[in-house]
Amino acid sequence: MPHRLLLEISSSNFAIMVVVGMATTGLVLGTVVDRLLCWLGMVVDAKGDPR
Amino acid sequence: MICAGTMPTSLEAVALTAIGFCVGTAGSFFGVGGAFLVTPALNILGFPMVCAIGTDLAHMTGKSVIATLRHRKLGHVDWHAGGLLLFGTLPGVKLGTVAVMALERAGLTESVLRYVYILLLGVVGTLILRESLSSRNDAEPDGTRALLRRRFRLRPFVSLKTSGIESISVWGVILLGLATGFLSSFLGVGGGFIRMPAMIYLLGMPTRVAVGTDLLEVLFSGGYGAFLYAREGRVDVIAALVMLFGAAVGSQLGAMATKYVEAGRIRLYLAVAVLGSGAAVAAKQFGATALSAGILLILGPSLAGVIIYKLVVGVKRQRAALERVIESDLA
Repeated sequence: MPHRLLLEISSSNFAIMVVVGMATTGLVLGTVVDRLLCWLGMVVDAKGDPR
Repeated sequence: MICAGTMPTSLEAVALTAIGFCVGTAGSFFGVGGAFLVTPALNILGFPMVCAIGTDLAHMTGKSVIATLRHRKLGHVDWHAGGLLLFGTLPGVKLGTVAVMALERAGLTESVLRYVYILLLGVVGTLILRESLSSRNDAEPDGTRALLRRRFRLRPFVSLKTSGIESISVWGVILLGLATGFLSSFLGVGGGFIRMPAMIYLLGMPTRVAVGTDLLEVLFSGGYGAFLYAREGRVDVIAALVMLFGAAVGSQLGAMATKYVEAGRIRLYLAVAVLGSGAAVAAKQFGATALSAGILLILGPSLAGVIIYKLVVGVKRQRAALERVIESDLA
């Protein structure tokens, strides 16, 4: 029973890690791509207007 | 490829990135998750169906963070409406699951769900197509005539400034979330295709705000779904991350394109996407699996291509206009 409980907690923790990890990766990738698009001259200001 | 978290081959990595890019672009432009495109595409790559759904939901979580932030910068997210909708969406998802289980016990799941899905997509797609063709490109449907604003007058009321709604019943917004949450869970899809038009026609939201706010809903519903599937070990994390690389670029471009495409055109393209996916599901229902996959594989890249084209044309026009202003100032 304790082993089963450990397995349950472990899979839930893994699931939380997947969701948080994906959201964080999205945040980082989004920022990197945003900077890249700025550098390419497609986006400039906070409103997303092109330069 | 199987749902084992193994490293994809170069060809698979290119295919996954391309899928992520196309779905990121279209999803961020329409304010939908894009499960209708990703799940069959992953299935074709060899993912078992359940794993395809789980992997899609995981990548959708990351993608919708990017798209929501971009739409926030453009002023397209109504946080109050999004928060109220969530109060209905989450119980709606639970109720939908209960209804599916009841149908499953009766042995009716597959046939009933697919027919309801085809009917719903057909009706919604036709209505949007008719409305968008009859209105001017830059025109929005008359929000004051929206059903839930006009007929549903139960206290308390709330003002949704970003959406330009002066007064609407809190219960009306929650009810809409409940209904769309139920349908998304009942039909096994993200629900964006139903929720986004419902926000425009039933709540009276402007098209672009409906797109941004729906992506906020997708973030939560996708995250919740990814959690449930990951707990069962049905998420290929590496494949989801590879798709996220493509989606990171696509979702920024799709969101930016909404700024350059007229609201009526967004609704017209949405109608095409809804009817196309309805045709794909109908083809699958009648045994034409290859035709169904073909429709979706043509639909996704075509939509992404049109959106990118519109973005490039819009950026060029705005740059030319800015240059003219600068030149006239100098003169």
